[in-house]
Amino acid sequence: MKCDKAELLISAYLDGELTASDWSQVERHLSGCSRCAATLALFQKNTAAFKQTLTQRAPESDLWAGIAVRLDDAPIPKSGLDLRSAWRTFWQGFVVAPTPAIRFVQGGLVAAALLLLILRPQFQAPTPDTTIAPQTDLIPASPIPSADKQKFMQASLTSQVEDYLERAGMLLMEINNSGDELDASDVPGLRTTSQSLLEETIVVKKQLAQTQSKELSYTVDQLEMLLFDMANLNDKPQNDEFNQLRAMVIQQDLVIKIEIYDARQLRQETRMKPSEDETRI
Amino acid sequence: MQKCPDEHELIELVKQGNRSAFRDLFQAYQLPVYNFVLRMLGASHDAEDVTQEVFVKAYRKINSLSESGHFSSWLFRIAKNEALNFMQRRKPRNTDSVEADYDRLDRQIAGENPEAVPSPAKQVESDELETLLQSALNGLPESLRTAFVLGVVEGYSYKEVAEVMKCSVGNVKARVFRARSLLSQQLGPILAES
Ligand SMILES: [Zn+2]
Repeated sequence: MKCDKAELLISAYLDGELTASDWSQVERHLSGCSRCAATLALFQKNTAAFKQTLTQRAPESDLWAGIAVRLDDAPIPKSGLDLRSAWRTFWQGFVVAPTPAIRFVQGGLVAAALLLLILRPQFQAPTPDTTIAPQTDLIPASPIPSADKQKFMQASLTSQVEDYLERAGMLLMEINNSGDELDASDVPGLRTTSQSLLEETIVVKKQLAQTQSKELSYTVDQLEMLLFDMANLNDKPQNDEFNQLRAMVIQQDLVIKIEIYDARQLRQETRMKPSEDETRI
Repeated sequence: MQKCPDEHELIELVKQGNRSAFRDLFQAYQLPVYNFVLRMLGASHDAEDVTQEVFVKAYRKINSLSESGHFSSWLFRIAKNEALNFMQRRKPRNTDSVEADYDRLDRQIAGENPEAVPSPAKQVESDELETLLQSALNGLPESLRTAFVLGVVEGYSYKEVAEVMKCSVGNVKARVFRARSLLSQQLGPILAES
Protein backbone atom coordinates (compact mmCIF):
# COMPACT_ATOMS: atom_id res chain seq x y z
CA MET A 1 0.00 0.00 0.00
CA LYS A 2 1.23 3.44 -0.93
CA CYS A 3 1.26 6.32 1.50
CA ASP A 4 -1.44 8.37 -0.24
CA LYS A 5 -3.82 5.45 -0.08
CA ALA A 6 -2.91 4.81 3.53
CA GLU A 7 -3.58 8.44 4.49
CA LEU A 8 -6.99 8.36 2.86
CA LEU A 9 -7.86 5.21 4.78
CA ILE A 10 -6.53 6.61 8.04
CA SER A 11 -8.89 9.55 7.66
CA ALA A 12 -11.84 7.24 6.97
CA TYR A 13 -10.86 5.02 9.87
CA LEU A 14 -11.10 7.93 12.29
CA ASP A 15 -14.68 8.48 11.16
CA GLY A 16 -15.56 4.82 11.63
CA GLU A 17 -15.84 4.32 7.89
CA LEU A 18 -13.38 1.49 7.45
CA THR A 19 -13.86 -2.25 7.58
CA ALA A 20 -11.70 -4.29 9.92
CA SER A 21 -9.90 -5.94 7.03
CA ASP A 22 -9.05 -2.58 5.45
CA TRP A 23 -7.77 -1.39 8.77
CA SER A 24 -5.54 -4.39 9.22
CA GLN A 25 -3.91 -3.52 5.90
CA VAL A 26 -3.38 0.04 7.06
CA GLU A 27 -1.89 -1.19 10.32
CA ARG A 28 0.60 -3.27 8.38
CA HIS A 29 1.60 -0.16 6.44
CA LEU A 30 1.82 1.91 9.61
CA SER A 31 4.18 -0.51 11.26
CA GLY A 32 6.74 0.22 8.57
CA CYS A 33 6.04 3.87 7.74
CA SER A 34 6.82 6.53 10.29
CA ARG A 35 5.45 9.29 8.09
CA CYS A 36 1.98 7.76 8.00
CA ALA A 37 2.18 6.95 11.70
CA ALA A 38 2.79 10.66 12.32
CA THR A 39 -0.15 11.51 10.09
CA LEU A 40 -2.37 9.20 12.12
CA ALA A 41 -1.30 10.87 15.35
CA LEU A 42 -1.88 14.34 13.95
CA PHE A 43 -5.26 13.47 12.43
CA GLN A 44 -6.32 11.83 15.67
CA LYS A 45 -5.36 14.85 17.67
CA ASN A 46 -7.13 17.40 15.50
CA THR A 47 -10.22 15.25 15.06
CA ALA A 48 -10.55 15.05 18.82
CA ALA A 49 -10.02 18.81 19.11
CA PHE A 50 -12.79 19.54 16.63
CA LYS A 51 -15.23 17.08 18.17
CA GLN A 52 -14.59 18.20 21.74
CA THR A 53 -14.56 21.91 21.04
CA LEU A 54 -17.24 22.40 18.42
CA THR A 55 -19.96 20.68 20.40
CA GLN A 56 -23.70 20.78 19.88
CA ARG A 57 -25.31 24.08 20.77
CA ALA A 58 -28.88 25.22 21.06
CA PRO A 59 -30.07 28.44 19.49
CA GLU A 60 -30.47 31.28 21.96
CA SER A 61 -33.81 32.48 20.71
CA ASP A 62 -37.06 30.75 19.84
CA LEU A 63 -36.65 30.12 16.15
CA TRP A 64 -40.15 28.84 15.61
CA ALA A 65 -41.72 32.21 16.40
CA GLY A 66 -39.91 33.82 13.49
CA ILE A 67 -40.71 30.93 11.18
CA ALA A 68 -44.41 30.71 12.05
CA VAL A 69 -44.97 34.37 11.15
CA ARG A 70 -43.53 33.83 7.74
CA LEU A 71 -45.51 30.68 7.04
CA ASP A 72 -48.69 32.69 7.24
CA ASP A 73 -47.89 34.31 3.96
CA ALA A 74 -46.21 31.32 2.43
CA PRO A 75 -48.61 29.42 0.27
CA ILE A 76 -47.41 26.03 -0.83
CA PRO A 77 -47.04 25.85 -4.57
CA LYS A 78 -47.88 22.65 -6.40
CA SER A 79 -44.31 22.25 -7.46
CA GLY A 80 -41.06 24.15 -7.59
CA LEU A 81 -39.96 26.24 -10.53
CA ASP A 82 -40.09 24.03 -13.57
CA LEU A 83 -37.63 25.43 -16.06
CA ARG A 84 -39.21 23.70 -18.99
CA SER A 85 -42.65 25.09 -18.35
CA ALA A 86 -41.24 28.45 -17.34
CA TRP A 87 -39.47 28.49 -20.66
CA ARG A 88 -42.67 27.67 -22.51
CA THR A 89 -44.51 30.38 -20.64
CA PHE A 90 -41.74 32.80 -21.35
CA TRP A 91 -41.74 31.93 -25.01
CA GLN A 92 -45.50 32.26 -25.23
CA GLY A 93 -45.11 35.67 -23.75
CA PHE A 94 -43.01 36.64 -26.71
CA VAL A 95 -45.14 35.09 -29.39
CA VAL A 96 -48.59 35.77 -28.17
CA ALA A 97 -48.31 39.17 -26.67
CA PRO A 98 -45.05 40.60 -27.88
CA THR A 99 -45.58 44.21 -27.04
CA PRO A 100 -46.49 44.00 -23.35
CA ALA A 101 -44.13 41.10 -22.88
CA ILE A 102 -41.19 42.89 -24.31
CA ARG A 103 -42.03 45.97 -22.35
CA PHE A 104 -41.61 43.90 -19.25
CA VAL A 105 -38.26 42.62 -20.28
CA GLN A 106 -35.30 44.89 -20.36
CA GLY A 107 -32.86 44.92 -23.20
CA GLY A 108 -30.31 42.73 -21.49
CA LEU A 109 -32.84 40.09 -20.68
CA VAL A 110 -34.02 39.96 -24.26
CA ALA A 111 -30.50 39.52 -25.50
CA ALA A 112 -29.83 36.85 -22.93
CA ALA A 113 -33.07 35.12 -23.82
CA LEU A 114 -32.13 35.02 -27.47
CA LEU A 115 -28.73 33.75 -26.55
CA LEU A 116 -30.30 31.03 -24.49
CA LEU A 117 -32.59 30.18 -27.33
CA ILE A 118 -29.57 29.45 -29.43
CA LEU A 119 -27.50 27.93 -26.70
CA ARG A 120 -29.86 25.59 -24.95
CA PRO A 121 -30.47 22.69 -27.28
CA GLN A 122 -31.83 20.53 -24.50
CA PHE A 123 -34.72 22.87 -24.13
CA GLN A 124 -37.06 21.39 -26.64
CA ALA A 125 -37.94 23.92 -29.27
CA PRO A 126 -41.26 25.33 -28.28
CA THR A 127 -43.96 23.07 -29.60
CA PRO A 128 -45.40 24.06 -32.98
CA ASP A 129 -48.94 24.60 -31.78
CA THR A 130 -47.87 27.35 -29.46
CA THR A 131 -45.20 29.03 -31.49
CA ILE A 132 -44.89 28.53 -35.19
CA ALA A 133 -48.50 29.31 -35.85
CA PRO A 134 -49.63 31.25 -32.83
CA GLN A 135 -53.37 31.04 -32.57
CA THR A 136 -54.19 33.92 -30.39
CA ASP A 137 -57.79 32.88 -30.04
CA LEU A 138 -56.76 29.62 -28.42
CA ILE A 139 -54.07 30.96 -26.18
CA PRO A 140 -55.10 33.65 -23.76
CA ALA A 141 -52.86 36.65 -24.25
CA SER A 142 -52.41 37.28 -20.59
CA PRO A 143 -49.31 39.21 -19.69
CA ILE A 144 -46.65 37.02 -18.13
CA PRO A 145 -45.62 38.24 -14.69
CA SER A 146 -42.21 39.75 -15.12
CA ALA A 147 -41.04 38.20 -11.87
CA ASP A 148 -41.42 34.75 -13.40
CA LYS A 149 -39.34 35.73 -16.35
CA GLN A 150 -36.64 37.19 -14.22
CA LYS A 151 -36.61 34.10 -12.11
CA PHE A 152 -36.33 31.94 -15.13
CA MET A 153 -33.53 33.95 -16.66
CA GLN A 154 -31.49 33.95 -13.47
CA ALA A 155 -32.13 30.32 -12.84
CA SER A 156 -31.01 29.24 -16.26
CA LEU A 157 -28.01 31.51 -16.59
CA THR A 158 -26.41 30.59 -13.33
CA SER A 159 -27.71 27.20 -12.43
CA GLN A 160 -26.64 25.45 -15.58
CA VAL A 161 -23.06 26.60 -15.23
CA GLU A 162 -23.15 25.94 -11.50
CA ASP A 163 -24.48 22.49 -12.03
CA TYR A 164 -21.92 21.84 -14.72
CA LEU A 165 -19.09 22.92 -12.46
CA GLU A 166 -20.35 20.88 -9.57
CA ARG A 167 -20.52 17.73 -11.64
CA ALA A 168 -17.19 18.44 -13.28
CA GLY A 169 -15.68 18.92 -9.82
CA MET A 170 -17.00 15.56 -8.70
CA LEU A 171 -15.74 13.81 -11.79
CA LEU A 172 -12.31 15.32 -11.29
CA MET A 173 -12.27 14.26 -7.66
CA GLU A 174 -13.15 10.77 -8.71
CA ILE A 175 -10.35 10.69 -11.25
CA ASN A 176 -7.97 12.30 -8.82
CA ASN A 177 -8.68 9.77 -6.13
CA SER A 178 -9.02 6.59 -8.08
CA GLY A 179 -5.24 6.29 -8.28
CA ASP A 180 -3.98 2.94 -9.37
CA GLU A 181 -7.27 1.48 -8.21
CA LEU A 182 -9.23 2.19 -11.38
CA ASP A 183 -11.71 -0.59 -11.72
CA ALA A 184 -12.90 -1.58 -15.18
CA SER A 185 -16.42 -1.44 -13.79
CA ASP A 186 -15.99 2.29 -13.07
CA VAL A 187 -15.15 3.07 -16.68
CA PRO A 188 -18.66 3.14 -18.18
CA GLY A 189 -19.81 5.57 -15.48
CA LEU A 190 -16.83 7.86 -15.92
CA ARG A 191 -17.29 7.75 -19.67
CA THR A 192 -21.00 8.58 -19.53
CA THR A 193 -20.46 11.48 -17.13
CA SER A 194 -17.64 12.78 -19.29
CA GLN A 195 -19.73 12.53 -22.43
CA SER A 196 -22.63 14.44 -20.98
CA LEU A 197 -20.33 17.10 -19.54
CA LEU A 198 -18.55 17.35 -22.85
CA GLU A 199 -21.84 17.97 -24.62
CA GLU A 200 -22.61 20.77 -22.20
CA THR A 201 -19.17 22.29 -22.41
CA ILE A 202 -19.87 24.22 -25.57
CA VAL A 203 -22.95 25.78 -24.01
CA VAL A 204 -21.11 26.63 -20.84
CA LYS A 205 -18.24 28.16 -22.78
CA LYS A 206 -20.60 30.40 -24.64
CA GLN A 207 -22.27 31.47 -21.43
CA LEU A 208 -18.91 32.17 -19.89
CA ALA A 209 -17.97 34.28 -22.88
CA GLN A 210 -20.68 36.66 -21.64
CA THR A 211 -18.94 37.07 -18.31
CA GLN A 212 -15.58 38.30 -17.18
CA SER A 213 -14.41 34.83 -16.23
CA LYS A 214 -11.22 34.59 -18.23
CA GLU A 215 -9.58 32.24 -15.77
CA LEU A 216 -12.58 30.02 -15.64
CA SER A 217 -12.85 29.97 -19.41
CA TYR A 218 -9.27 28.84 -19.56
CA THR A 219 -9.90 26.15 -16.95
CA VAL A 220 -12.92 24.93 -18.90
CA ASP A 221 -10.74 24.71 -22.01
CA GLN A 222 -8.38 22.42 -20.14
CA LEU A 223 -11.29 20.48 -18.77
CA GLU A 224 -12.70 20.03 -22.23
CA MET A 225 -9.55 18.30 -23.43
CA LEU A 226 -9.69 15.97 -20.48
CA LEU A 227 -13.38 15.27 -20.97
CA PHE A 228 -12.73 14.42 -24.58
CA ASP A 229 -10.17 11.82 -23.61
CA MET A 230 -12.32 10.50 -20.80
CA ALA A 231 -15.35 10.20 -23.06
CA ASN A 232 -13.31 8.08 -25.41
CA LEU A 233 -11.75 5.84 -22.83
CA ASN A 234 -11.49 2.16 -23.72
CA ASP A 235 -13.47 -0.41 -21.83
CA LYS A 236 -10.26 -1.64 -20.32
CA PRO A 237 -7.93 1.33 -20.36
CA GLN A 238 -4.27 0.68 -19.97
CA ASN A 239 -3.01 1.95 -16.67
CA ASP A 240 -0.69 4.33 -18.49
CA GLU A 241 -3.52 5.82 -20.42
CA PHE A 242 -5.60 6.52 -17.38
CA ASN A 243 -2.67 7.67 -15.30
CA GLN A 244 -1.84 10.27 -17.92
CA LEU A 245 -5.32 11.70 -17.56
CA ARG A 246 -5.03 11.61 -13.83
CA ALA A 247 -1.67 13.36 -14.00
CA MET A 248 -3.29 16.13 -16.00
CA VAL A 249 -5.95 16.62 -13.34
CA ILE A 250 -3.31 16.81 -10.65
CA GLN A 251 -0.68 18.84 -12.46
CA GLN A 252 -3.14 21.45 -13.65
CA ASP A 253 -4.75 21.63 -10.23
CA LEU A 254 -8.04 21.22 -11.98
CA VAL A 255 -9.95 20.14 -8.89
CA ILE A 256 -8.92 23.19 -6.93
CA LYS A 257 -9.49 25.51 -9.85
CA ILE A 258 -13.00 24.22 -10.37
CA GLU A 259 -13.75 24.33 -6.68
CA ILE A 260 -12.76 27.95 -6.44
CA TYR A 261 -15.41 28.79 -8.95
CA ASP A 262 -18.33 28.03 -6.79
CA ALA A 263 -21.71 29.59 -7.03
CA ARG A 264 -20.67 32.74 -5.22
CA GLN A 265 -17.87 33.49 -7.57
CA LEU A 266 -19.94 32.84 -10.61
CA ARG A 267 -22.84 34.95 -9.47
CA GLN A 268 -20.62 37.96 -9.25
CA GLU A 269 -19.22 37.37 -12.63
CA THR A 270 -22.52 37.02 -14.36
CA ARG A 271 -24.06 40.41 -14.56
CA MET A 272 -27.41 39.35 -13.27
CA LYS A 273 -27.96 39.45 -9.59
CA PRO A 274 -30.08 36.68 -8.15
CA SER A 275 -33.18 37.66 -6.30
CA GLU A 276 -33.17 37.27 -2.56
CA ASP A 277 -35.69 34.56 -2.91
CA GLU A 278 -33.76 32.21 -5.09
CA THR A 279 -32.93 28.73 -3.91
CA ARG A 280 -30.86 26.24 -5.71
CA ILE A 281 -32.86 23.19 -4.86
CA MET B 1 -29.55 11.78 10.24
CA GLN B 2 -32.16 10.19 12.36
CA LYS B 3 -35.68 10.24 11.18
CA CYS B 4 -38.34 11.44 13.51
CA PRO B 5 -41.21 9.05 14.18
CA ASP B 6 -44.09 9.26 11.72
CA GLU B 7 -42.00 11.42 9.47
CA HIS B 8 -43.65 10.17 6.33
CA GLU B 9 -47.13 10.97 7.65
CA LEU B 10 -46.01 14.39 8.85
CA ILE B 11 -44.62 15.23 5.45
CA GLU B 12 -47.85 14.22 3.74
CA LEU B 13 -49.76 16.45 6.15
CA VAL B 14 -47.42 19.36 5.55
CA LYS B 15 -47.94 18.95 1.82
CA GLN B 16 -51.61 19.62 2.48
CA GLY B 17 -50.73 22.79 4.35
CA ASN B 18 -50.79 21.47 7.90
CA ARG B 19 -48.58 23.80 9.92
CA SER B 20 -48.67 21.92 13.16
CA ALA B 21 -47.22 18.89 11.38
CA PHE B 22 -44.53 21.17 10.08
CA ARG B 23 -43.85 22.35 13.58
CA ASP B 24 -43.25 18.73 14.61
CA LEU B 25 -40.76 18.32 11.80
CA PHE B 26 -39.10 21.57 12.81
CA GLN B 27 -38.73 20.38 16.37
CA ALA B 28 -37.18 17.14 15.25
CA TYR B 29 -34.67 18.83 12.97
CA GLN B 30 -33.96 22.28 14.36
CA LEU B 31 -30.91 21.29 16.39
CA PRO B 32 -29.16 19.26 13.69
CA VAL B 33 -29.81 21.95 11.10
CA TYR B 34 -28.82 24.78 13.42
CA ASN B 35 -25.56 23.09 14.40
CA PHE B 36 -24.65 22.31 10.83
CA VAL B 37 -25.30 25.91 9.77
CA LEU B 38 -23.49 27.21 12.84
CA ARG B 39 -20.33 25.33 11.91
CA MET B 40 -20.59 26.38 8.30
CA LEU B 41 -20.91 30.07 9.23
CA GLY B 42 -19.26 30.34 12.62
CA ALA B 43 -21.56 32.99 14.10
CA SER B 44 -24.52 31.95 16.21
CA HIS B 45 -26.73 34.90 15.37
CA ASP B 46 -26.28 34.41 11.65
CA ALA B 47 -26.87 30.70 12.10
CA GLU B 48 -30.22 31.41 13.74
CA ASP B 49 -31.34 33.61 10.86
CA VAL B 50 -30.23 31.11 8.28
CA THR B 51 -31.86 28.21 10.11
CA GLN B 52 -35.16 30.08 10.05
CA GLU B 53 -34.73 30.70 6.36
CA VAL B 54 -34.05 27.00 5.80
CA PHE B 55 -37.31 25.95 7.40
CA VAL B 56 -39.34 28.61 5.62
CA LYS B 57 -37.89 27.44 2.30
CA ALA B 58 -38.50 23.82 3.21
CA TYR B 59 -42.12 24.57 3.95
CA ARG B 60 -42.62 26.46 0.74
CA LYS B 61 -40.95 23.82 -1.35
CA ILE B 62 -42.20 20.72 0.37
CA ASN B 63 -44.15 19.71 -2.71
CA SER B 64 -40.96 19.47 -4.72
CA LEU B 65 -39.81 16.71 -2.38
CA SER B 66 -40.68 13.62 -4.35
CA GLU B 67 -39.76 10.88 -1.92
CA SER B 68 -40.51 11.61 1.68
CA GLY B 69 -37.86 9.05 2.71
CA HIS B 70 -35.22 11.55 1.65
CA PHE B 71 -36.49 14.42 3.74
CA SER B 72 -33.45 14.80 5.98
CA SER B 73 -30.88 14.91 3.18
CA TRP B 74 -33.17 17.23 1.23
CA LEU B 75 -33.46 19.53 4.25
CA PHE B 76 -29.71 19.54 4.79
CA ARG B 77 -29.22 20.33 1.13
CA ILE B 78 -31.40 23.41 1.57
CA ALA B 79 -29.36 24.24 4.67
CA LYS B 80 -26.11 23.88 2.76
CA ASN B 81 -27.35 26.12 -0.04
CA GLU B 82 -28.71 28.72 2.35
CA ALA B 83 -25.46 28.77 4.29
CA LEU B 84 -23.48 29.25 1.09
CA ASN B 85 -25.86 31.94 -0.12
CA PHE B 86 -25.47 33.71 3.17
CA MET B 87 -21.70 33.54 2.98
CA GLN B 88 -21.85 35.01 -0.48
CA ARG B 89 -23.91 37.96 0.70
CA ARG B 90 -21.78 38.45 3.78
CA LYS B 91 -18.47 38.45 2.03
CA PRO B 92 -18.72 39.93 -1.42
CA ARG B 93 -15.77 39.15 -3.60
CA ASN B 94 -14.32 41.04 -6.51
CA THR B 95 -14.11 39.38 -9.84
CA ASP B 96 -10.37 39.82 -9.69
CA SER B 97 -10.05 38.10 -6.34
CA VAL B 98 -9.42 34.77 -8.02
CA GLU B 99 -5.71 35.34 -7.81
CA ALA B 100 -6.07 36.02 -4.12
CA ASP B 101 -7.95 32.76 -3.78
CA TYR B 102 -5.16 30.87 -5.45
CA ASP B 103 -2.64 32.58 -3.21
CA ARG B 104 -4.63 31.77 -0.13
CA LEU B 105 -4.97 28.13 -1.12
CA ASP B 106 -1.32 27.92 -2.04
CA ARG B 107 -0.32 29.31 1.30
CA GLN B 108 -2.68 26.97 3.07
CA ILE B 109 -1.26 24.04 1.23
CA ALA B 110 2.23 25.25 2.03
CA GLY B 111 1.21 25.33 5.68
CA GLU B 112 1.10 29.07 6.11
CA ASN B 113 -2.04 30.65 7.23
CA PRO B 114 -2.61 34.21 6.13
CA GLU B 115 -6.07 35.00 7.40
CA ALA B 116 -7.46 32.46 9.73
CA VAL B 117 -5.46 31.78 12.80
CA PRO B 118 -4.52 34.32 15.43
CA SER B 119 -0.96 34.22 16.66
CA PRO B 120 -0.39 30.88 18.34
CA ALA B 121 -0.42 31.46 22.04
CA LYS B 122 1.29 28.84 24.13
CA GLN B 123 -1.76 28.08 26.14
CA VAL B 124 -4.87 28.37 24.08
CA GLU B 125 -7.98 28.94 26.12
CA SER B 126 -11.02 26.94 25.24
CA ASP B 127 -12.93 29.91 23.77
CA GLU B 128 -9.90 30.84 21.89
CA LEU B 129 -9.53 27.30 20.66
CA GLU B 130 -13.07 27.38 19.35
CA THR B 131 -12.38 30.60 17.47
CA LEU B 132 -9.21 29.10 16.14
CA LEU B 133 -10.84 25.92 14.90
CA GLN B 134 -13.84 27.75 13.50
CA SER B 135 -11.72 30.18 11.55
CA ALA B 136 -9.62 27.35 10.21
CA LEU B 137 -12.87 25.78 8.99
CA ASN B 138 -13.91 29.07 7.43
CA GLY B 139 -10.74 29.02 5.37
CA LEU B 140 -11.60 25.75 3.65
CA PRO B 141 -13.13 25.64 0.19
CA GLU B 142 -16.80 25.13 0.75
CA SER B 143 -17.18 21.60 -0.55
CA LEU B 144 -14.43 20.48 1.79
CA ARG B 145 -15.94 22.41 4.65
CA THR B 146 -19.37 20.89 4.07
CA ALA B 147 -17.96 17.38 4.00
CA PHE B 148 -15.82 17.91 7.09
CA VAL B 149 -18.53 19.61 9.16
CA LEU B 150 -21.09 16.94 8.38
CA GLY B 151 -18.83 13.90 8.38
CA VAL B 152 -16.50 14.77 11.25
CA VAL B 153 -17.82 17.58 13.44
CA GLU B 154 -21.47 16.52 13.27
CA GLY B 155 -20.59 12.86 12.94
CA TYR B 156 -22.89 11.79 10.10
CA SER B 157 -22.00 8.75 8.08
CA TYR B 158 -20.26 9.26 4.74
CA LYS B 159 -23.32 7.79 3.08
CA GLU B 160 -25.54 10.45 4.62
CA VAL B 161 -23.08 13.17 3.69
CA ALA B 162 -23.00 11.85 0.12
CA GLU B 163 -26.78 12.14 -0.05
CA VAL B 164 -26.67 15.75 1.08
CA MET B 165 -23.81 16.66 -1.24
CA LYS B 166 -25.16 14.60 -4.12
CA CYS B 167 -21.88 12.86 -4.68
CA SER B 168 -20.41 9.40 -4.18
CA VAL B 169 -19.24 8.03 -0.85
CA GLY B 170 -15.77 7.90 -2.36
CA ASN B 171 -15.97 11.62 -2.99
CA VAL B 172 -16.94 12.27 0.59
CA LYS B 173 -14.04 10.18 1.79
CA ALA B 174 -11.67 12.16 -0.41
CA ARG B 175 -13.09 15.52 0.60
CA VAL B 176 -12.93 14.75 4.28
CA PHE B 177 -9.37 13.60 3.83
CA ARG B 178 -8.39 16.77 1.98
CA ALA B 179 -10.08 18.89 4.61
CA ARG B 180 -8.21 17.01 7.35
CA SER B 181 -4.91 17.47 5.57
CA LEU B 182 -5.39 21.19 5.07
CA LEU B 183 -6.58 21.69 8.63
CA SER B 184 -3.75 19.63 10.04
CA GLN B 185 -1.19 21.57 8.08
CA GLN B 186 -2.60 24.77 9.50
CA LEU B 187 -3.29 23.71 13.02
CA GLY B 188 -0.69 21.07 13.65
CA PRO B 189 1.86 23.12 15.53
CA ILE B 190 -0.77 25.05 17.45
CA LEU B 191 -2.68 22.03 18.64
CA ALA B 192 0.53 20.35 19.62
CA GLU B 193 1.08 23.14 22.14
CA SER B 194 -2.43 23.32 23.47
ZN1 LIG C 1 3.15 5.69 4.56
